[in-house]
Amino acid sequence: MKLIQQPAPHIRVAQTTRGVMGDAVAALGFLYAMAYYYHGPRAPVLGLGSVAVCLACDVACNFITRGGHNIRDLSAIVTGLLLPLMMPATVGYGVVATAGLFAMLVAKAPFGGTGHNVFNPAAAGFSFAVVCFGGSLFLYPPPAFKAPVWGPSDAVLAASPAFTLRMGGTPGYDITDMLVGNYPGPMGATNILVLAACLLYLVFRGTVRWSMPFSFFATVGVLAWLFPRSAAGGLSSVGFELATGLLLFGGIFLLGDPVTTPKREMSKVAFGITAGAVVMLFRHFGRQEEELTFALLLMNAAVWGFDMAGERVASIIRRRKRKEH
Amino acid sequence: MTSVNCLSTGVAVVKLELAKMRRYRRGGRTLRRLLLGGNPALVIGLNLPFLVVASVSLRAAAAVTLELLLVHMGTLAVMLTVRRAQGGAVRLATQVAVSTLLTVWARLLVIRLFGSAAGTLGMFLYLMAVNGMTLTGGAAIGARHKPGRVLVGGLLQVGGFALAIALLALAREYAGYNTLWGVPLPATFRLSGVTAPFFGLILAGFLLGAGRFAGKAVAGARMRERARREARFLVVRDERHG
Repeated sequence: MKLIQQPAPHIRVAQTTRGVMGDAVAALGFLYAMAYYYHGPRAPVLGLGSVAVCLACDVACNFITRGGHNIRDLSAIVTGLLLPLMMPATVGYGVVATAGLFAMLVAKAPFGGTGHNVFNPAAAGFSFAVVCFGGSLFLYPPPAFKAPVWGPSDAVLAASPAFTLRMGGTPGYDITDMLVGNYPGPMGATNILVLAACLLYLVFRGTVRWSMPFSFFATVGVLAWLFPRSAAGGLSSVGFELATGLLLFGGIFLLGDPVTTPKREMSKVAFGITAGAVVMLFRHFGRQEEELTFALLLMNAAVWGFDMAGERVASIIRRRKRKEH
Repeated sequence: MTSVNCLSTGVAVVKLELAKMRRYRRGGRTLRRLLLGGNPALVIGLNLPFLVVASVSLRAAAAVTLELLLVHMGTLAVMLTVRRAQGGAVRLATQVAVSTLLTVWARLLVIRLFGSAAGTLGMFLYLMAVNGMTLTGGAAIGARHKPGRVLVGGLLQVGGFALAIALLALAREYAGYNTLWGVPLPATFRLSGVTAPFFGLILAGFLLGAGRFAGKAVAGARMRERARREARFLVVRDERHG
């Protein structure tokens, strides 16, 4: 009998799609808990509504394709949970439903369902909602405002620090406020501490490889330091760029999608670096306040190139190793 | 002798009937193919930019379709007379010159009829001079092609384009502007993103998918019906032979 010494954990289980998606659902649950704390029961109701729409679309597409997809892999639930977290707490249910319908019926099902989609469904759905509903998606209620579950709200909506950065100003919130999410912004993208904890959880569980988000955030940080948008400049600019908008949220949950990102480690690093550069380009020269999802969709279309380049480099390395031996 | 004559007459009648049925089926197949299964815009991809850009409203769609009809049919009619001209370059130059002249005239007519809806199409009204359907249709005319068939084929192609653009324009104008032919209609939502060009391509893809799905369903039903009929016939033959 051959004994192999390995570090803990000693119980190895095969990673399944359901397991990966389950980890994402658990992480998103933490974000919904914070959103409920800040904005009341409307946040989880929005999430449930979005999940219902996405699940219904998945079931319908499964029926049309005669059982070609497995609806129990939780992918529709993850997409449904992601969408409202990128939007204000006072967003209408119709907006969330529209984004969910687009995500499932246009970005996912026509390409073959889970595992075959080219574009991240949540990013596509949010981008379509931005194109359709424009500026109303970038006005946020104050953090302590408990939005009513039904009917219109009387919240005084304000722009997020991302808008201030876009205008060349410096956000007037201190670091503590930004860490705990005490400023107007997307429901799931303001609480930096919880997002960092989610990232650590997903990396520890093996759902997300650390190389891609790390290379992505590092690239954004370097470019923010070299080409600051705010008058503060330097490390403050880095902090503001990383903490505002959907950058952290997108870097963890959207960029970490195993289907729409490259497979090899070196390709992931290259992808993360390029994605960071493209996002900063969009932030500097784009029309919208939040351009991360558009940049991500563009990168999704180029994943095949990163995969091909990665395979070429890997085969060159293998050939050289064989020659050496 | 009489029975042989009857048999040969019967066989001749059956052959004539079968020939008629084949012609009917071929004609029906051609119509179905050009409008649905072989739709020039959706399936073959001709004039896709016009389909995507002009399908934001029914009036713009009608303007583009009318211009296409005039340019395409006029060019085909002229090319039928010069199909024996020497050299492909001479034919191509003639075709482009003719379609350009027709485009200039058709554009003025279309703007007069449809007003601002046609005006919003901008340079696409000029680009009709070199649209894919006319270029390929004119170049494909051979010496042996019958003029009637060429013209009918051209009409069917424009009909296929009209069907595709009408369906797209119907959906996009209602969802994007809550109007139909410029008339406001009640609606609970408005999705301005539907009027973006990328959504036109998405809708065209869905239309193509729906057409294929419907085509397969119809073909499947017809095959099942034919099999049922043939099975019945075989059963009858078995009974006759005891």
